[in-house]
Amino acid sequence: MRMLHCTAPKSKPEQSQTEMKRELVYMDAKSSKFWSIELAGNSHTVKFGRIGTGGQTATKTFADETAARKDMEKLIREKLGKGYVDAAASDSAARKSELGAEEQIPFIAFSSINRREEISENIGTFIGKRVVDYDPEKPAKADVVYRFRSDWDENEVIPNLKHFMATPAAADANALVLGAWHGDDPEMTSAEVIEVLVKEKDRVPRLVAIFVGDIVSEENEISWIKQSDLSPLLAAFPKLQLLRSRGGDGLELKAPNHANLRALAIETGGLDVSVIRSVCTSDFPNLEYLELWLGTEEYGANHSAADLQPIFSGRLFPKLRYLGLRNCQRADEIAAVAVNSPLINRIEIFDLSLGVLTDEGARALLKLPSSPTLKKLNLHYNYITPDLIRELKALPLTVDASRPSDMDIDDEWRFVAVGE
Amino acid sequence: MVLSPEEAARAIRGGEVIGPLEVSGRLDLTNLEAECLPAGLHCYELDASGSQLSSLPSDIRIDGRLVLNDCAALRWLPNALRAGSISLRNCPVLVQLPENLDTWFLDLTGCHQFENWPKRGRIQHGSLILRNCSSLRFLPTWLGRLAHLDLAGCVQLQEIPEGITVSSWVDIGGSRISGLPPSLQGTPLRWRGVRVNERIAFHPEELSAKEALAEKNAEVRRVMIERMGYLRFAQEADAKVLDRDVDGGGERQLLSINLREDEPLVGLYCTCPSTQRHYFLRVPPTMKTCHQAAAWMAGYEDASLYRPKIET
Amino acid sequence: MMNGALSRWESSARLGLIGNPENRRIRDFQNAFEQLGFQRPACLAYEELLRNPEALSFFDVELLRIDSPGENEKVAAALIALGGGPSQVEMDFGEIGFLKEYYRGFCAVLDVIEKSCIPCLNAPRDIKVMFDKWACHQRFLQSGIERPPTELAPADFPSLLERMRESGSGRLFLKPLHGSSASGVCALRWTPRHQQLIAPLRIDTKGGQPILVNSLEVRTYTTMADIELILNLLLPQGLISEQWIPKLTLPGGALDLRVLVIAGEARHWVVRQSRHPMTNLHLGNQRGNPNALCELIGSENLQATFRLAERAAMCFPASLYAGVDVLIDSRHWPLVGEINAFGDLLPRLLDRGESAYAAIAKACQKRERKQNCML
Repeated sequence: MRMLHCTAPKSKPEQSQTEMKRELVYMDAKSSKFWSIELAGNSHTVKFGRIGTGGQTATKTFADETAARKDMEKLIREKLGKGYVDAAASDSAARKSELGAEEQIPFIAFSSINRREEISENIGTFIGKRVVDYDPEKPAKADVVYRFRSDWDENEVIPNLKHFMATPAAADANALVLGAWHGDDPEMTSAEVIEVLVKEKDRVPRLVAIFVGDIVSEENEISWIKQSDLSPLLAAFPKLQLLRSRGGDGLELKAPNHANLRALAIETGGLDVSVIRSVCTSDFPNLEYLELWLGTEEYGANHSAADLQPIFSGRLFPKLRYLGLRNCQRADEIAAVAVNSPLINRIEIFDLSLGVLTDEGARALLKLPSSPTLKKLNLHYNYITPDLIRELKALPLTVDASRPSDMDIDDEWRFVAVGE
Repeated sequence: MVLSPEEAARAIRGGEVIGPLEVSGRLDLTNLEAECLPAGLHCYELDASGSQLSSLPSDIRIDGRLVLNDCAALRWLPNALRAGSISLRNCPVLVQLPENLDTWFLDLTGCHQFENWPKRGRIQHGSLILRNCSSLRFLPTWLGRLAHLDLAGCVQLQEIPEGITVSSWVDIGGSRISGLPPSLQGTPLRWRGVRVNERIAFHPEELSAKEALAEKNAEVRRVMIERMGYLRFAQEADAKVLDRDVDGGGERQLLSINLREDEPLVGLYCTCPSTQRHYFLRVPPTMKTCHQAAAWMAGYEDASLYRPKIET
Repeated sequence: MMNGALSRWESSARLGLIGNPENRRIRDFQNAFEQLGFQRPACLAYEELLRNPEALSFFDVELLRIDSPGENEKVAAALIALGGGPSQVEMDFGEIGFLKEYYRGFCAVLDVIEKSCIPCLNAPRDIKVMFDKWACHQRFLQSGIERPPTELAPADFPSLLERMRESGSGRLFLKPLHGSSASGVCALRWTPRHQQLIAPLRIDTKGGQPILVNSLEVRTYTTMADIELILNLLLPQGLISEQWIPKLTLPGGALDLRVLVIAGEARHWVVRQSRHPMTNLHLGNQRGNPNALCELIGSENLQATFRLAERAAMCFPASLYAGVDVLIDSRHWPLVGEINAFGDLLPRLLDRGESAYAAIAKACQKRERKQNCML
């Protein structure tokens, strides 16, 4: 009953018999690391560390070349299983965009939260750089990304942001993170802060990445965060490559147009259909990465799979490489439509993680057509039984079907990973 | 002319539209009183549910969703109508769909008179929902691979043509479909929304009351009892007799069968005097006597008021 | 683990415990002291003391350590009866109830201990205050100890609801005046449109009536009906309402510190991390990485945290040691959360090469010597 459209399974992309060297990188909300291995006779040498540093080197010798190669392949498999990807494929080499000497953000730096636990922590890295809370009393540095937030009983996010804009470091800043802006006023939306950022746009001419809403559960629940229209950011920053936001209440994209945007990520506990409509009527010709957290009905998700049809049709984003429909209560339904859609044959990564994906959706995913481009299926946090997980892992692509260790899939109640 | 959805809706409702209209976003024309829309309309989403529209203009262009639920007068849709998804729920006089219809999601729930498919069309990738299309007697052969196929309540539908494929489930509850074509072998089944296996769906004669009572899932159990028939279920199950008496057809018994984690199944087991056929008629579990049960079935809340000469 | 640096008692002071002997903590304490080379401390059971208040005069010890009366249903029932509650109260396992009566009963027992004039490591009158969060808060304020803004919570839900509506939105910790280890502690936050109560408890029924039961699983209640039911049962038992200040967060979750202060000095400490508002370690939480914390806030702020814990413990000068919970806000400033008279002695943790038990034993000795010198 499996794989109606699959021909004989291909060998998995990472198995090559003649490679002597492999360079991998890993990026997420917490770290950006490199790892490379090179075979020389009966030994291999591993180099690893933080991207941007020299890292450490370790050489191991074996009885013969076969043993060394076997160990090398085992280590490579381990790393790929953990989410490392090939450095060459990840565009980690800097490329100039048409607009000038702006570095292209590496493709794998677009994603942020991988594991469910990470929603209770502020991000530690953004586009591969370390994120630090801005302190006006310390000199502003050039090689970090600053986060601007208010404490629970103060309102210093805007003064801090203005303070930073006046420093020389702002001229070189290529990314900004806006954290808890609500301070002692939970009714405050992101609009005020966005307005300041837009007004001071000339002070941050190199800004290519913005995260509006790096707010953790201790500060505020995701569905309680008050958002606003993000379009002014699109209009003010023509060089913007990545826009990420958290919080669905009040979120809008009234003018969803941008010539250069490569990545759009919207994290919510319940996504309003009007935002999906905006995405479906948008003009983002260079979009490579689209991540939408659809959420649950209880927290505002009032859409159905049909609302996503324009995205699945493939007519919207010719350069799309990653589609994430995450934290979705109706993950099974989405999976069933996705496997039929023209889009699935064009993208490299399909992400259905953090949602209520059960055996029903898993069976649909087993009917994925064999596509030369689709490389990875992210199903982290799921409710799939072990037999079907085994079948999914036999598909000719990398499948992440991991679960948090405390997750009980036999529980009667099924929740999305990030509710409320 | 490009208008915002609010401006466009105002203009159309006011009958003031001159020339082709382009609307960005969702055009809300719910409960529109006009019988037709202006020509040259182009929008992302159109919702004219509850309106008096009897048709759509032949040059209408809809990029995303077309929603025409509860349109009491809707009879005719233009040829080559194309939209990402089309919803036509509860359109009572809709009998046919247009040639070269092109959509991913089609919902005809409650279209009791619908029966004519176009000779050619494209419905694929999404969900085809035909719940309670009681006039529908066949499905077209040109359907592409769907995500879900819902045929619950299609009481006249007896088979699904070979070649149709589905990536998720097929719902055949309440239809007369007795088996799946080779192209759908192994597809997960549902019976009016409840996940069932092939045995429950197509071989209810193999089901036993013992199996049904052992079923942990209350919804699946209800479907099993419905499929095997209340009568056989009552005859096979270990029923407790709550009350006995005699009526025109002979002895009748009020039976109660305990179900796990659910209220007991209570029914009146009786015989029809003319046909001698047995029946097991379900009544609320609060019934204590045969007389009370019969009264309830006849519509009497107070059994003492029910004194029939003949019970049918 | 024999620590050669410690010698036997120079005086003849024998240490005794008052507690529930079946409790693991009593046995751990007895084992640890024995292994350190001391006489194994005897334990007088609360059950016996409650049955016979004269039992203390037969307890052949010269120094007392008062341990928690908790985790024993018979003792709880006796304390409740002693405190004016029903004489034969029947509570379900883990049920939260009769907190005021329990406290009154426990105070009566502390009075008996005080009257016996046997010196205690932690004085009964200090323990009384530490076991009353409002009295404790006031004592802290008098000494200028940094605390989250705190008030007495109203005694019924309608009053609280009115306050909630008036302020529009807010976030509070509601803590029983006389509770321990997160029992009955609720984190409450609300906006005009949403509300949320997070607590390690669940709602059960007993005799057709709802009751609250401690749970190891921290649950989130989001409907007004649930929140009303829970607070209707808790508010009349006496709660304080403490501002819920967002805790500092590291990878692993929000954190606070538990610092053991012995003889006025901050000694053993742990970072407790949690992905929900309750950081108590028994609620599925974990110990955090002290180095990561130090790196984040800097050693100056970390030292300030320890000094604050010491000042908090000094508010109870008649007590040798206390477990102080300190939270750190996102500006890296410390605030005192709670102080514990009994406080688990942080097993498997060394400070200056010695365990918490050894440190306390040493401090006992020093104290003995000082008192002997003064004679």
